[in-house]
This record gives sequence, C-alpha cells and structure tokens, in this order.
Amino acid sequence: MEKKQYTSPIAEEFAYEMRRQTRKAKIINYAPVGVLAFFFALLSAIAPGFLSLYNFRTILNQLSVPLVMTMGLTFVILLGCTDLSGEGLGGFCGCLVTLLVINTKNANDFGAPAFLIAICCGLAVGLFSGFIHVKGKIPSFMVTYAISSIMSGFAVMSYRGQPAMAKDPLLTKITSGSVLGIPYLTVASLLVFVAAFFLQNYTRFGAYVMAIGDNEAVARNTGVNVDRIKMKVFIWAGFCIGVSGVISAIRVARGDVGLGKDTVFPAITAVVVGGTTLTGGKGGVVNSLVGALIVTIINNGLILMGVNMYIRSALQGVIIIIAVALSVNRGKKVIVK
Amino acid sequence: MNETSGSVLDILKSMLSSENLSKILSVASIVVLSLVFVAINPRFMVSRNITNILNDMSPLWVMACGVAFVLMLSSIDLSLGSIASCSAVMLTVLFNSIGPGAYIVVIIYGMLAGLINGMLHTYLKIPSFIATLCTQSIWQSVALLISGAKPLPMLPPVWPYIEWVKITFGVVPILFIISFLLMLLYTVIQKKTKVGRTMLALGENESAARLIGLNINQAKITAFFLSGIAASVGGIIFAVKLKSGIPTVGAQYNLMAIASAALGGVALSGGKGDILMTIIGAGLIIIIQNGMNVIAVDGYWQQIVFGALVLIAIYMNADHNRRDLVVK
Amino acid sequence: MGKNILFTARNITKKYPGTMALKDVSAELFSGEVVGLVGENGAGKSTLLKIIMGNEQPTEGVMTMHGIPFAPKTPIEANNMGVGMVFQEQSLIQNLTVGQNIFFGMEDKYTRFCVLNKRKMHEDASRILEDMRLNHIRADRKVSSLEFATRQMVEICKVFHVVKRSGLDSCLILLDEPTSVLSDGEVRNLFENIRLITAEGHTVIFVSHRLDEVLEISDRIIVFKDGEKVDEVLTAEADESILYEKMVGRTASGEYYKVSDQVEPGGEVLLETRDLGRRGYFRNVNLTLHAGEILGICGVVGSGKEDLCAVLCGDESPTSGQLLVRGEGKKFGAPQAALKNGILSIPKERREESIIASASVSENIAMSNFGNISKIGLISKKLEKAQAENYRGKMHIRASSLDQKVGFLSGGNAQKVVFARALASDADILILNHPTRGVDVGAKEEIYSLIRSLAVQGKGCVLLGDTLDECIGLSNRLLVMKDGEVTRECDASPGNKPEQVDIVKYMM
Repeated sequence: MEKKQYTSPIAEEFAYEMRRQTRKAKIINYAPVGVLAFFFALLSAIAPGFLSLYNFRTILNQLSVPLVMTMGLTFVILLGCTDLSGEGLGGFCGCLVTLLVINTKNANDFGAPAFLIAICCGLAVGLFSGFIHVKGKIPSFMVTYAISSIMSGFAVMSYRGQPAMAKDPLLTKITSGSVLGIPYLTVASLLVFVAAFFLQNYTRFGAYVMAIGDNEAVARNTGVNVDRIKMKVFIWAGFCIGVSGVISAIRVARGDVGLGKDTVFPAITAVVVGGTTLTGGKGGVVNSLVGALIVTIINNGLILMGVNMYIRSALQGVIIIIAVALSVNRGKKVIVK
Repeated sequence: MNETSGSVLDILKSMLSSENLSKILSVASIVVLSLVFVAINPRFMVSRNITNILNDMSPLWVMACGVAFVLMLSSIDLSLGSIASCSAVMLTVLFNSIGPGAYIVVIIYGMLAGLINGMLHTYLKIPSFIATLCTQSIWQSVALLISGAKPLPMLPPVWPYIEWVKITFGVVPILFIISFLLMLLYTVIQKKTKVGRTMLALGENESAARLIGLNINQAKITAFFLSGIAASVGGIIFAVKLKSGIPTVGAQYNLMAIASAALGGVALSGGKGDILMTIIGAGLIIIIQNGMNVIAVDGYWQQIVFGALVLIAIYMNADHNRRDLVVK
Repeated sequence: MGKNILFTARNITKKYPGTMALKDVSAELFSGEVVGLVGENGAGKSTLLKIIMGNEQPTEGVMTMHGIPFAPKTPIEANNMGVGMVFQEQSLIQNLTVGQNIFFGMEDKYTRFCVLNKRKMHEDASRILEDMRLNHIRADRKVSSLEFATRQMVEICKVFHVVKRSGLDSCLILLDEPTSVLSDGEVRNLFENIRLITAEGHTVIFVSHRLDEVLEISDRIIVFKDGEKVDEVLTAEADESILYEKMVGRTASGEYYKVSDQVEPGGEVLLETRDLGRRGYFRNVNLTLHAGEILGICGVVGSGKEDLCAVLCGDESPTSGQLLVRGEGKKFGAPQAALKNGILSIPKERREESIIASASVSENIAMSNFGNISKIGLISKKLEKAQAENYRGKMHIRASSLDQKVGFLSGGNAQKVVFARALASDADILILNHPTRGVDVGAKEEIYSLIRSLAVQGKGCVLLGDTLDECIGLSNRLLVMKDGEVTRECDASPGNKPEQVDIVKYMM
C-alpha cells in the first residue's frame, strides 16, 4: 500500500538513454577485432602470397618496431597527451647503439650493454619531455615535436656525415635467431607488450593513468600525484622508443638518423585504430596490439601487392583520419584542439 | 572593491611584463646575435649578405604568418612544410605545361589543402595535430610521387617566368616585399575583421566564443585556410629562388615557422598573438641560421637550436598564472 | 537524549567577490542521525558541503569533528577525519573495475612488490558490496558496463567505505542529491543503508530537492535561505507546507525589482515552442514569449530549465517538438545560428561562458555584432571605441579605461559589459540565465533596471532567476518546471504577483 513513486518519467527516459549509450559503447569496443578480421580476409583474398608461413614470419618481423612504439604511446594517449618524439629519439637511440658496438666509425666494443645504454638514453629523454610538459605547462605535442627535432640533431651529430655500420657478429646472431620460429626481435617486442599489459592491469600506476585520462580532477582529489604519474608515463614512452630504436638499428646494422623516420606515424595509427581514444581514459594495450596487427598486415599486404611506398604512407594518413573520425565523440560541443 | 583592485593592478603589471618579455628578449637577441656574428665574421653585415638574409627570410616569414593564425587557436599545423614542398614541385611541373598560370594553380592548391585541414579538424572533430600529421604525410607522398623522389630542375624555357625574382630595391629583394605584403594582408585580417577577432576569442575561451554567437567553425577553417595559402606561397618562393622543385624542401621549415611564430609572441594557450611580430621571430631564426652558416657551424646544430628555441619561446608565452589549467 | 556531538560548525561565513554565499551559519550534528538540508538553489547548501569537504575554505568561522578543531584543506584531509561525500556528478573512473574504484587511492594494502592483487581486491570489494545489499553488482565488472543508476550506488558504496576506513567510531557522510538518477528500488535500498550505517553510529547529511524523501529519511531538517540557516526542525514536527514556508521566507519589496516599471507586453509573439523536448532532459514544453515580456522559468536544479535554456539559444538541439521564431519554424545548429534569428543568451557562468577575459572592454562589447563598428567590412577602432564609450556612460561600467581587460573587472562590471554586448547585438530575444549571479547588491539593482528597460524597448526576455524571489519580481509571467515538465503557468503582473510558497509547491 505504501508504495511510493520516486522516479519521474523524464528520469526513466534519461536512464534509457544512458543504457543505449552503454550498449553502443560495448559494440564499438569490439569493432577493432572486426576490422582486423576483415582486413585479414580481404588481404588473404587479394594479396598474392599473403597466406603463407613465410609471410607470417615476415609479418611477425615487421610487427616488432610498431608494436614496441605503440606500447609506449598507448600510455601517453591514455592520459590524453601525445608523444611525437619517436622520430628523432628513436633515430638517436639507434645511432647510439651502432656507435657503441663494433662498428666502422670508432673502436668501441661494448657488446650487449650497448643496448642498455641506448635504452637508458631514451628513458632519460622521456623524463626530460615529461618534465617540461608537466612543469612548464606546455602541450605535450609541442614539447615532443621540439624534442624530436633536437634529438635528430644529436643523432646526426653523433656520427657526423657518414652513418656508422655495425660490424658486431652479435647483431647478425640476434637477427637470424629465433625461438619456436619467432624471431628474437619479435620476442623482445612481445616481452615489451607483456610488460605493458602487466603495467596497465596489475599495478597502481596503470589504474592511475586510466584515472587521469578519464577525469584528472577526480584523480587529483583522491590524492594521486598526477604530475609524477604523467612524468612516469613519458619515461615509459621514452623507454619504448629507445627499445624500438635499438631493434631497428640491430635489424639494419646501420646507425642512420632515418631509423626513427616513419615509426611514429604507424604507431599513432595503431593506437587509434585499436580503439584508444585521443581524449584519454579509454582503450588500452590490448587494443593497441590489435591496432598494431591491423597496421602491420595492411602494410604487409600493400607491399605484397607492389604498392609504391609513398602511396602506402599516404594511405596510412587516410586510415588515421577515418579511424579518429569514427572514434570521436560527436555529441561534444567543444573539441580537442 | 578597493582591495581587489589593488591586487588586480599587481596581476596586471606582472602579466604585462611576462607578456612582453619574449618579444623584448627576441629583439634584444637579434641585436646581440648580429653584433656577435659581425665580430666573428665582418662579412656578415655586407649588403650582399643582408640581401641574402632577407631573401632567405621571406619563405619562412610567410609560413610563420600563416601558422601564427593556427597557433592562436591553440591548434597546430604540421602539414605546412609538406604543402610547401608539394607546391614547389607542382609549380616546377606546371610551368612546363601551363606557363605562368601555374602560380595561380599552386595557390589554389594551397587554399584547398588548408581548407581540407580545417574541415577535418572542425567537421570530423579530429584534433589538429593528428589531422595535419595525416595531411602532412599525404602531401609529402604526393610531392615525392610527382617528382619521382628527386629534385626537379627548372629548364631554360621556363626561366622567363621567374626572371622577376632578381629585382631588388636597394638591398631589399622583391621576395621580401612579397612576404611583407602578405604579412600586411594577414595583419588586416587579424585586426580588422570579424574572423580575426573570433580566432583570438576562441583561442582564449571556446565555450564563451560559441555562446556569444561567434561563428567558430568558420574561424577555425579560415585559420587553416590562411595557413595553407601561406605554405603554398612559401613553396613558390622556394621554387623560384632555387630554380627547382625539391620534394622535401619544406620539411625543416615546419618547425622553424612554428618557432618564428612562438618567438613573435603567439601563445599556445591561445588568445594572444600578433601577426606583425612574426617578423621578429623569423628574423631571429634566419639570423641564427645565416650566422651559423657564415661561421661554418654544422647543419645539425640548427635542428637542436631551433627545437630548444621553440620550447623556450612557448614556455615564456605561456600564462603561468592559470594554476587550474589542464594541459594535455 | 544522551547522544554525542560529532560535528559542530560555529559562525561559518563564506564570502565571494561581490557576494556572501554563507552568513554566520552554526550547527551541531550528533552521532547516528540523519540531517536533511533543504533550501532553494543558491541558498548555501552546496557551499556548506564544499567547506566541510575541504574543497573550499570558510572566510570566517570554525568547525570541530570529534571535539577537535577541523579545518580540511583538501578532500583527502576530510576523508582522514572520517568525512566523505557523494557528489552530484559521478566521479568513478569508467575504465576501471568496480573493485578498483572502491579502493582507488588506497591500493597499498593490495600491492606487494609493485604487483596489484586484483583478486583479493575484488573479493574485499564484493564483501563491501554485500554489506550494502548490493549483491547483484559484481566487483570485477568495469564501471563503464554498468547501468547509470548502479554506478551511483557504487559511488555511494565507495564513499561509505572511505569514511569507515578512517577507523573512527562515527563518521560523517554527505549526500548531495544522491537520488536524482536512482530507480524506486534503489532509493529504498539506499535509505535502508543509510539507516544501517546510522545505527552503527555514523551521521549522514542528506541534501535533496525532493522534500518527501527528506521527510522520510531524516531525523532533523535544517532550512537554508540566502546563505543563512533560517530554521532547524525535527522531522516529526514538520510537513511539506511548513518547509515550503520556511524556505521562501519574506519577500523583498516590489520596488527592489522595479515592478512599477513593468510594462504590459505587446501583441507580437517573438518566440514560441510546441511540445519541445530533449530526450532525457525535458519534454512537452509549450511557451510563448511576446515582445516586451519577461517570462520567468522556475525550477530546481535538474528540473530541465537549464536544458530548455540551452535549446532555446541554440546550444543544444531538441529531439522533439518545434521552435518558432516570429511564427517561423527554426532549427539551430549552433548559438551563432540563433543569433542570426535575433536570439542571444547571457550565460550562467560568466567567466567560463560569456567573457573573453584577455580581450578589452570595447572588444568584448563588439563581439556579438561587428556590423555596428565596421566600415566596408573592416573593423574601425574609432567606431568600436565610440560604441563602448556610449555603453560605458549609459550603463555605468566602472573600468579604468576601455582598453582594460575584462578579466580584471569585478563581477558586476563584467556582467554589465555582457549586457552591453547583448544590447549592441540587436538581438530582440534574450535568454537571461541567472543574470545577477555573483553580482554585488548595488550592481544587482542596476541590472534589474536594465532588464526593465530591455522590456520597454520591446525585447522579449526568458529569465532564469538567481532566486525565486527575483524570478517572480521581474517576470510578467511564470512557468514552473519539475522533472522535465511544465507543472504550472501563472500570471505575474504588478499587483498580482504569486506568493513564493505557491510556486515552490509546484517545483518540488
């Protein structure tokens, strides 16, 4: 008898609307997997030699650099920031490696620790970018864009004119070796993925990154040291860029500043196509793995079909535009600048 | 009321000083650097070198004027350089087929490229750095495809079309006059039109600008449009100056143009900036570059120096009073 | 009754530039009771909650908690003293699980060697949820996959946990409009939980616009009006009508609102809506606005009046119904399209929504209409200055010069600049959204005269008043909204102004 009615029709309408949005978001969540399946099927049909064991190995090989880059970038984008420093920084770390192992330019022979040194450099530069972004309140895209230019300058400076060729037998050993048919370099990149997965899901850090991207004010009010987390993210991104620079240097055994070129673009494509939104707080490393796979197989398929490399990079641009346009929140009135 | 107005005055004073600081520093460093370079190398101030500097400065200045509009919205245009490269290549190729009409076609191309950037950003709501990063990649690819990835020389039959470049007025070359005129036009747009006012307003406070009833999309698209035109004019200047269409000629100028605008006082937080002042930034950058060439410093230093300059200039222009500002 | 005093506030005052949000508020809360806070919008409830939570600091006055001085600088400090709050807007992190959200910021317990033991976290979270009879919510689900109302329950659960964790015998929990998105069953569940935790000795402050709910759950009710605590009643001795009366208090004299200047609206219909609606916000709104008329819209926060306003000025799109301007059906994509049809709004949040702080006074005045100050399409500085000078004289804008940046003006003067812009825009339909918010008393009167003069000039105004009194005093006609629908429409011509109590009845 005493059944009081609390809710009004308009509140029910509101609840219904929210439910609809939740449902829609769920579907969109799985879209990247669908896209991957679609391209896989399409390329199997039209690209000659796509469906072969040899080609799968090639794909795994091609996956390594974008995957590592993507893992770093994912965290940055989850924050709602960007890191464009990969081009210069990746090149610099690559150059550094070739100059530290046995090479044509100098008498260094550090062996494997050379990798570590180069990666640490990436880490340090990441910290520097993060510091300037956070403390100077300068938008991250601007900071990292400038840092990229600075680091390419240092990269060229490191070898002055003629790039160093690495002569270390260690490198050939690494490039030719494999476990269970998976090349060492790909294994390394998968390890980075595992680390990223762990960071995101099983540490406080991962939860805080998500929180800052979703709602920075809430994170701050809960006592999270937002600035420190942001800097840590840029350090992690620097680490990943360092690793990817080292991997590319090992692969071509040549320390050219161009090593970092055309790595940032596919990485951003992969993150966005995978469903991590540029506004932050949504998506994650698994999404990015799917994204990296999509980007890699498309690129691989286009190579197999004999498409010009310039057209390939232009196509990548078109893909990002479409992916971002599909993923942005159309209801928002004020858009990200 | 009185106690607030007292503190308000203090804030005003500090704002004023920090606002002009970067400009004052820029002007001072132009003077100092010129003196340093003269001391190191007396040839620096020779009239031929001055003409050279003005000539080198013109494409950069033009591009800086364009990108200043975009930065004022607190957006960014990363496609500037490749639009310029593409324009240079197109001009060279089109001279052979349609003659001087190529100038117009290339400028129309620049307009279109700018419009595309603006529309991607506004209608598809893609953040500007992503949208222009994509178009940057696209136009760079187009330039490389047209040229076959190598510099295209202008052949003797088309030389009459570029004869005018050699005109000088005293030490001032005609290319510099052209950039000056474009700057003048852009200044008028910024200061004297509704669109220009809207850009400043929306850089500062987009929600307010929207509710005031300003046409936000139009202003954003116009900014990218003007940036596109400037980039294509820059490309034309590169091509006629070098008598060839080099498919990567604009690449390094992207950062330099942004640096020039930032040194001229445009703040990335929006709402602040003056097209006129880009001359200071562009002048400073070219003097550094030229000075480095004259005293034979390696080229890679330039990237390092300009990268650092961007950071410093933007840091100085940023409004550090706004504690609550969330910067992504 | 042998109860312990848990929390006291003595003479709390909060001043904002130009206004007093709280005046000399004192209160005592006992352990184990539920205290309802009621009052109109802007009566000071939210400010008080913010001060208790440490989001704001009082200008004057002291608080104690458990008998010791209590002056939190941040919400975390408040949490540590056993004070927690559920905000109106949800503060959960969408992409984390329910458990991660409940333990957000206190992962230490579950971290060993940098590894987060999520399973244990989820187990503990499930136990907490069970304690609150929320067994149906799984702790390992992501928040983004939950229903909106369920999220609200998780949020409440999180706050309960945060304060309990402080280890104190009795804690204080602030609930700010917690029921607005909940379904019937969930409201009942929430009430049960409130009773459970108060039985344990905790105290709850319950803020709601729904008086029936306040009457049902609270033991005592504190009534706020204009930043002052006007009364404190035991729920047993109160009913809705008593509360209404206390909330509205006495009416300001008609002359304060320049009622003698009120004009009879002209015949022309400027704006009309037919069954206008926006899904989830309001529906079936029919209104007509005549030339020279001031149409007041009353309603509590969440009644849909703000959303109606946003639709009228083109900021949002309606999902149903029609909007007619001078008899013609219109659809606006953006406020700019509305302005072309002569509709301009004066937004609520001045600093965020209506001034360009770094632009000068004259530039701000010119923003909505460049036609006035342009020659052959180019802006003339001279005309711009002349226009600004004109309005400065007319509206008594106190600025050191016309080049002064608007960001440095006081609230009242900045608002006058906004009005000057509205006048210069030539728009004849003005949407006034809290036009006197954050404005000092002197400037308020000037703005009232201004609004009257707008009506005299034949402009039509839709008014969302800062207080109900203001809304009644200024308007020719009133619409009352509740839960997204118009519940009453009444005349408010001079000498025939309705009593506030009669209006409030339809609002809550």
